[in-house]
Amino acid sequence: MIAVIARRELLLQAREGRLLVTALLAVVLIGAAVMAGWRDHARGERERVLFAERSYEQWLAQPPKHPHRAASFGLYVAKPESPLAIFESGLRPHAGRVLWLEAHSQTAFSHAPADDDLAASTGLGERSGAALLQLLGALLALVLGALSVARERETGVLRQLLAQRVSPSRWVAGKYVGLAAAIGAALTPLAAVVLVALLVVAVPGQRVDTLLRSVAALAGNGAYLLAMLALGMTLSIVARSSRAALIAGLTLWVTIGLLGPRVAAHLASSLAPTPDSAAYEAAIGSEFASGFDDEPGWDARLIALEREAVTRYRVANLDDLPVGFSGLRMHAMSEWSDRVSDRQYAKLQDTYSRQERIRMASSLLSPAIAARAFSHGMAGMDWAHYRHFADAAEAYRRDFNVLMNELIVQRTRGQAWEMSADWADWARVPRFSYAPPNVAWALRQAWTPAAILALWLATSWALLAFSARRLRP
Amino acid sequence: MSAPTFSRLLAQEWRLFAANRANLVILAVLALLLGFAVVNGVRRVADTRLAQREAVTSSNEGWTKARAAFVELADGRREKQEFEDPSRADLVVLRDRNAIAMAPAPLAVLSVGPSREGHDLIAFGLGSRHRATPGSRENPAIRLDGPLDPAFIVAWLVPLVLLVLAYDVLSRDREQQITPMLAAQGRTLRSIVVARLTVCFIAVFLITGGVGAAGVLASSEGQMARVMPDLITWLVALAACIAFWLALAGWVNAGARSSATAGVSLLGLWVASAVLVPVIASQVLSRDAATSDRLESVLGRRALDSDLTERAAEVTTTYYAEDARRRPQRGEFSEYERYFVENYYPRQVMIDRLFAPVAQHVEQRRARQAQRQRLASMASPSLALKVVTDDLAGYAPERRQRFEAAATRFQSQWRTFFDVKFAARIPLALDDYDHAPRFTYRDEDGGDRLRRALLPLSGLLLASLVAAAVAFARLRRARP
Repeated sequence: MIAVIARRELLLQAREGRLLVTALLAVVLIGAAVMAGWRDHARGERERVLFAERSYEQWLAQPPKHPHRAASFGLYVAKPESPLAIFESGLRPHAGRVLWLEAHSQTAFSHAPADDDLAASTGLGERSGAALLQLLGALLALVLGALSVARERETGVLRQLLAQRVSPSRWVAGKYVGLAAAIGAALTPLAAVVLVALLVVAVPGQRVDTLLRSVAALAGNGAYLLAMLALGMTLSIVARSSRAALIAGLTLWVTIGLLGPRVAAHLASSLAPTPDSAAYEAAIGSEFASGFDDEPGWDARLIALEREAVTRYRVANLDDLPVGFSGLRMHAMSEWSDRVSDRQYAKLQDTYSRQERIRMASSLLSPAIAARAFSHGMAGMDWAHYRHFADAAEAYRRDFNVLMNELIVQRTRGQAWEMSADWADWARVPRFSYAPPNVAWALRQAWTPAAILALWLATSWALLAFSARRLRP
Repeated sequence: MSAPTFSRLLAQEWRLFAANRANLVILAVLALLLGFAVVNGVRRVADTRLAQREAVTSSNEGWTKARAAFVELADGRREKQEFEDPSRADLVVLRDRNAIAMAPAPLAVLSVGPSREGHDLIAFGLGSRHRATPGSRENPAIRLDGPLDPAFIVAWLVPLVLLVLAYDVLSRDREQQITPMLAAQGRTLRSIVVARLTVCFIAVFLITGGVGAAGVLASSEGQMARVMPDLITWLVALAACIAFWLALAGWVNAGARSSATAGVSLLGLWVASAVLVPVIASQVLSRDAATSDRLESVLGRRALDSDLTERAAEVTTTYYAEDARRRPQRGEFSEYERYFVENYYPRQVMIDRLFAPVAQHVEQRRARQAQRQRLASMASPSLALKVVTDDLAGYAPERRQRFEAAATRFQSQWRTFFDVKFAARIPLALDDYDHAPRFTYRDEDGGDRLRRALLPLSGLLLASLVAAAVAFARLRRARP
């Protein structure tokens, strides 16, 4: 019986031009966003490869100079993107993808498009296919749901059906399945085209991972839209008129889709404020100079290092050392600076985690936050993926810094500082290589939003089932 | 209809509007939400001012301390140390970081703007300002979600509130089949709808304009005259935006048979105007008015750095050749001095000189993109109101560029003042401390902001006038 009602609903929706036009509009808009995403992704990847290549070439082509100055010149690396970034640009507009690796400390991602490209923040800032799907798809699902039962009630059809002893629960279930199928049918061609595009863009080794990530992203977005549809229908059952149901649906959409994420972001940044760049650098500078947790600061460390060097090499003073003390000093300085930097970075990541927990807690009220977070994660465009890349880049930075400092130890004597390394030395720094994490890792990182989405879907179904039992003509 | 009759009708509709509890709840929620955003805006502006004052004070104090150390050294109360010598220009000037600030614009309360970190502060020394800058430490997920600022509320939520208040301004009566009765009372349907929409306009404008204006005045620090032109412009834009959406509601209602149809139609128009057009505008801006590729600039600057490092001797020779007074007056220098004074500094000066056209090109592209965005915003009242608010709140790239240009000029003054003593290692005198250049900045005139806002503002006014005219004509033909 459910299947019969669903088929009838699907047929009705197909005959009614409004859904067709609305869905077509959404599909065209999302399709255009995907095409623009494809263009951005292709250009971004070209730039990334060229940038990384030329940055490494510039490293190799440095003229003879002091190794520390070479390390300060540094290298740039850029985060590779999964083909799914065509559909879901995730944090890219505000995170950037470029890291400058240099001698002194770990830098943050830079060159975020939104910093100087107004196009990235025009309007609501939603321009990726996934963001539009979540925004407009939820609106479509809520409006369709909100009008579904209330209209039948207003036209008297519901009274007739219930008089024929049709089970309200089965009728509602059939209608729900029919509407879900209508939305699905409208979006399926687009999904198929996107999937094919993703597989075309993916390099051979990436295809299975891309496919699995796409299926997971589809499931996440699908769960969100199904939950919205169920909520819309629940409102339609409960409301006294289609007018009231429509207003309630619209209010819910504004709250969930527009206000929820911003309120959550505001709460997160108010309850767990992030230090700005200047404060972050100042904290590192202060701990570097003064130390932390009873650990001495740099001046005391330097004095200890001088004593230790004199003792170890059994010389009267630093000028007599058989190795370059300035190199030893740079080693110690980098090591200390990395420890201080690690502490501040851990604090920053802890702040991010607290902010994320607040956002996820808010998503218990606004599932759009969880849907977005899950979608970002599956596309490899969430903070977990950015951090994975940043950690790999930081390990590489430390390695080449050690290599440069070692040159100073080996090629100077006593307290001398000036020396010159050359092309052969720059070539000892290997090219940066990075293997992005796979879908299993991504799913482990995104289990919280996935669980919240599942909870929302289950709750919305339960609400729909509960209200269906109390359906009155 | 005569003015007194319309006034009576208006008063009557006002009473009916106020008697509807749902309307009051909606308006109360709007007022609370906007009030919350405005209070946050006032706090944000106060924080920015405090951060700017602290940074500038700290920078000035650093200079004052160096001067005091110089006096102590001159009086024999301090011993000269190799790296703590206040008479050595290279140590003093290379370490000194000037902090300069651009004060928040009069309407900064109303928008967080596209870029939020940094408090509009620039700190620089003698080195090139085109070096790699550290990225933001803000959580990008938070930035992506967007700010809950008054600009967002008035541009995107207020139209939805208006639709909820007015989507059934006439269709409700049609559904209840009381329009023939209304039409028989000697008042045209058009005058009734206009009165109802006017009531909505007054209620929403009083709340949004009132709360926004209160926030602006609260953070004006008593400079009412400076704030007023911007505030009035913003209120005009706000009024035009509200009028546009209400006129659309009137137009749709003139023909709609049911409230649901009117509601869905207006929602569709909102989606088209507030979501679709901005997305299309964003894509068009990306294609046709893209900003310069900053990665390419980075590579260019690095290539320049490498090239000048390779030609270090030539760069130093050129630097000394440009002004013979720069040649050192005394003999032996430490490795530190030699590198920073003879190698690093001339290279920075040269980088700035050679990179200036590239930097200028980048800024020109940004200004061009902003101008295109203003033009594109004419197609969407929501986008236009957001652009006007952002511009008046001081986030136009042109304003930032003016500040950056002033910073560059000041850096040049600073360099010129110390250049010879720095390069020739001539000890500083107390006079150098007392007469070192100080940064003074005069922000752009209100007229500059208003001129920029003119395009989106005229788009808004035109859209609301056209919508009102169409709705007025359509309502004339409205049947009961």
